Amino acid sequence: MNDQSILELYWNRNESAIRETSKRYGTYCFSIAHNILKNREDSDECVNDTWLHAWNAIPPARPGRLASYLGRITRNLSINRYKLAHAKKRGGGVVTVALEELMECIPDGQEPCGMLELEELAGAINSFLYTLPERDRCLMLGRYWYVEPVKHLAGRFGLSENNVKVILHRSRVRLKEYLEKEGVTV
Amino acid sequence: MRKYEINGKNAAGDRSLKLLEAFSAVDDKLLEQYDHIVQKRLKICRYRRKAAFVCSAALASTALLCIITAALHMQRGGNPLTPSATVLPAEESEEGESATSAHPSDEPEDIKQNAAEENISDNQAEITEEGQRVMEEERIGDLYLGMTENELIQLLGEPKEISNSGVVIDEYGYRRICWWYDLGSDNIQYRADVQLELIDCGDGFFINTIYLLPEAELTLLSGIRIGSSSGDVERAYPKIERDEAGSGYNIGGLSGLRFYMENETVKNIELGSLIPYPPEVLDKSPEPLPYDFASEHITVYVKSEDSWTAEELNGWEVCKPIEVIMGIEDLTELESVPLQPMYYLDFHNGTLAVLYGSDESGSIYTLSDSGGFQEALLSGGDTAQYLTPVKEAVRFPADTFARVQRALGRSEQ
Repeated sequence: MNDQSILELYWNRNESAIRETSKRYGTYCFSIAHNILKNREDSDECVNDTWLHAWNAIPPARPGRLASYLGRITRNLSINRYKLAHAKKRGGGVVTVALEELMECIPDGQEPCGMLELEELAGAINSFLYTLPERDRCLMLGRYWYVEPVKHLAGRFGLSENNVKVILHRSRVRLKEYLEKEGVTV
Repeated sequence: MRKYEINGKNAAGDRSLKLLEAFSAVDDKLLEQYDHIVQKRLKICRYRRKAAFVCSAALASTALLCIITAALHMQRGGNPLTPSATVLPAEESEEGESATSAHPSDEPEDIKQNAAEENISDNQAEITEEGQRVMEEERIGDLYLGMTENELIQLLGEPKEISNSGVVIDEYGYRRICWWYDLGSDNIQYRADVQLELIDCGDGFFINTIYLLPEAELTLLSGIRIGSSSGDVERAYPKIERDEAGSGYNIGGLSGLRFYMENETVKNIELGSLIPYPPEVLDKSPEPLPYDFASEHITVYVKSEDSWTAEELNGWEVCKPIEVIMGIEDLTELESVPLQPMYYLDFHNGTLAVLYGSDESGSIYTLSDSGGFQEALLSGGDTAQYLTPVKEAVRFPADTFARVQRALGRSEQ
């Protein structure tokens, strides 16, 4: 069943929408959750919650691209669950390493206090990604959207792990400069 | 609008977590582009595995049939070495293909299909069913498409020649290189008779195209070889198409099997390409190096007794000779380097080189923070946090160490 047919099921409040969504995007969303949580049960729960969120949101939501829409919900739910699980103690794993890497992007001289706006930051990151060459942009997305391990990205893009690390490092430095230039607070 | 309160001990961690969350809002267009690129690579790698599997299956089934045939002949009192009929490889089931690991971009089949159809320059669309079949099933001697670099070297050893351009990178970032072998019995030195194009789509090189030159003596499964007649070709491949110009025959058009004819005999044979060149090759330059020795300001940290001192090299005249010598040739990988570095060279462009002594052994790192590194090194602190290894054990070109010493005004040892 294609995206259009699935969306019609949602709009007709037909419960088979969830079954069809799960059939079509179950593996995709599970992989996103599992990259972040590294736990099968938690990942399964996030995926199930994704279907529920989609059910509650559509209609009135009309996703342009269902894969990205669902993936984004799964990703946000997984990050929230990760935050809850690591509220007191930050453990190891891909996310922690990715977070440590992202610290390099935080502009200098800013006090980490006050109420900050996520949308502004998200918009700046989005604009920044468009400034990168295609390969570097894909590596950034692979690493910080899908939270893929460097090793997987290296294999996927035909690069050595060190090469991927270097490209990511340079992109992070550029992102930091970009955020500073745009005056975006993190 | 969502608001974030940031405070407490984990402020830096919370801020990076916020950055990670902010990535969620990336445009669908960018995600779609990413998914298409990853899918294309997965598809090619699966295709390659499938081709390799089919050939292995063909070998296995041929071997099995030979054993059975031999056993039957033995039972009937025949000669076990009597050749059996030619066996064509079996088709692989779809299950074999889908056994690859899950990936975030493992989208449903029709999405993959749409992605392939929508992408104007997707070369996979150019491969016909017939072309795909012949590329999966055909063998030339012991060679087949999808054979890995290691399998190839095991079979034929190192190539006689490698393309002068070295590895070239096509529009999609796939790495390509040509190898030549001289497998024939002719005595013409320096002349190869088999040309192989290898491609690396992300997990190692494999054969993408096999091209036989006029001196080649290899034979296809059908028995056709260089020198076979038009009649032989037409009998062996009843459905083969003659080119409009009459210069040859082909199965599958541009990606498949082609016979180039001269005086109605086969002059060249080409099998492939599994992955044709993109319509335009945009980038023929080698992959950019992840380090760079070009700089007009180098800080050299010199080991003295049990501490380090920093010396500055400034200006093109001083720095350029170091850049030239360090980059004059490919660096040789070493298994290990001495424990104690003699010099650290910070090029102030994100690259840091380490020299261990006059044996030219060294390492290369990317340096995230020159100031932090300097402070840590000079105060005897931990510098590891500033360094990301690029090449941990290499031999720099001869005279590198001496040239750095000269730049520092030290007498050569």
